[in-house]
Amino acid sequence: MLESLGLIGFGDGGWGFALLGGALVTIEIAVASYVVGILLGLVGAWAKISGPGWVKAIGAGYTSVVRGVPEILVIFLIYYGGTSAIRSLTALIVPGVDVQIAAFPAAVAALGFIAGAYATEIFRGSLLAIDPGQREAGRALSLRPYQVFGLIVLPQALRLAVPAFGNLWLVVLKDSALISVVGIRDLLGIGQTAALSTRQPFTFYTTVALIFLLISTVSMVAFHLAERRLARGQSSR
Amino acid sequence: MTFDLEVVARIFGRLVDGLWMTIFIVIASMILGNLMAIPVALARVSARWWLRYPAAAYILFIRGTPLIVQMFMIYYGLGQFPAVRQSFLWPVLRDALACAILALSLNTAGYSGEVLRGAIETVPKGLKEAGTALGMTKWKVMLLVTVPLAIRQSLPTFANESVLLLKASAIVFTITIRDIMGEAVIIRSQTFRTLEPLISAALLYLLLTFLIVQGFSLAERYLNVHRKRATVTDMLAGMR
Repeated sequence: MLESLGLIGFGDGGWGFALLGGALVTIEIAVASYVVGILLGLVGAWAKISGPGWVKAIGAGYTSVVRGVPEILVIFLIYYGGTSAIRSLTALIVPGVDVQIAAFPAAVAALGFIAGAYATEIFRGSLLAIDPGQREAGRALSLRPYQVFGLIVLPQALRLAVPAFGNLWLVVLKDSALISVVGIRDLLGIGQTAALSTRQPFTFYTTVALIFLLISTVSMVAFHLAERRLARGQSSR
Repeated sequence: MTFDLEVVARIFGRLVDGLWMTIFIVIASMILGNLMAIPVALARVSARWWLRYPAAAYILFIRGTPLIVQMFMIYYGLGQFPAVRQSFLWPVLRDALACAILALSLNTAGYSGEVLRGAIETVPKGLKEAGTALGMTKWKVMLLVTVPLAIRQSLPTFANESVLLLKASAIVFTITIRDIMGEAVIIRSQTFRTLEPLISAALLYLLLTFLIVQGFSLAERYLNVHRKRATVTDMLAGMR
């Protein structure tokens, strides 16, 4: 038992620093994918609510495909399919050039693409939940459409969406563990290497799980506080 | 990068082999996991702290950590202990398929347990009191009144959970199981074609998602027959 503690510690022969580095990579990938997902979600929600017919269809196809296909499969498709598509495209434009796509942006693209579908649904739901009277009042004050959206509709919709976005962050964080399957040295990737080289798989996988649990618990508390702060001034319903 | 339909035709049979594996794993974990969810939910709402706290901790751990890590803990991890290797459970825990179903079931028990807890808490108090008034014991009220109503209440959520379970099951290929995803990955490494196996696999998953959603909406309609009658009566009452 003490031997195991030494292995996950920061001392000689300990994997502490390696695991910490892996945790940082995981957080970086998760945060970047989350941001990409939110931006995609805004575009997606616009497409599904007020885009022209064919844009609406693309939006609907995007969300239903991502919600019906396993995350790991989407990651494989974007990570391998996407990079080779980009490479053959550049080879077509500039023959003889071999582009290498770095692992990190490819991973973020894949996870962000998945998060974007969920964010689309969240934004759509919360934007539609805003009373049309609010929009009409804005127009009556002769605000421009982007002002009505940015100053009136979006702030209220965001407040409604906070709990769902807290949930989405936890989903993105946990999905980010899948990225180790394509060989990225994130928390789980480091844990796998450590498990193989020390022959103590349970020790390391449990440590990895507990680090994930720590990150998700801290974020749950943070989102809860944010929710409370944003709900101030609202009558408790 | 082209999409070759001939390749799809050639690999389709192998993907269908994987399809059966996926269906088997999902149904087995759905049944096992949701059965385990009932005691988890009951423990979670129990008045006894030594039942309530462990159940809450279990749910927190399952929902706060990635499924793939939980699965690795079971499949790769447990063999670390000589006591496990010598126990009668080892033939089960050594088997990848058993570990995959175990991991997915434990996961489902955590997620569904939390859903069921919410539903149990929304069952009206009057119904439970009616049960008590009919001379039912506390356990009978729980199992004959509260739990059935809670299950019906949470059916729409279970449809969602089942789709999530299907999607989650795709990671079992990382512990050597040849489900749809497993076959697609093997085909990819053998043929160096990426799009054909992965997109065909995605279509199979979409088909399964569609079937799950349809199946649950049928079940919902069947279990809510009494409510439908009520709405028809209401409509007639409104017309008068």
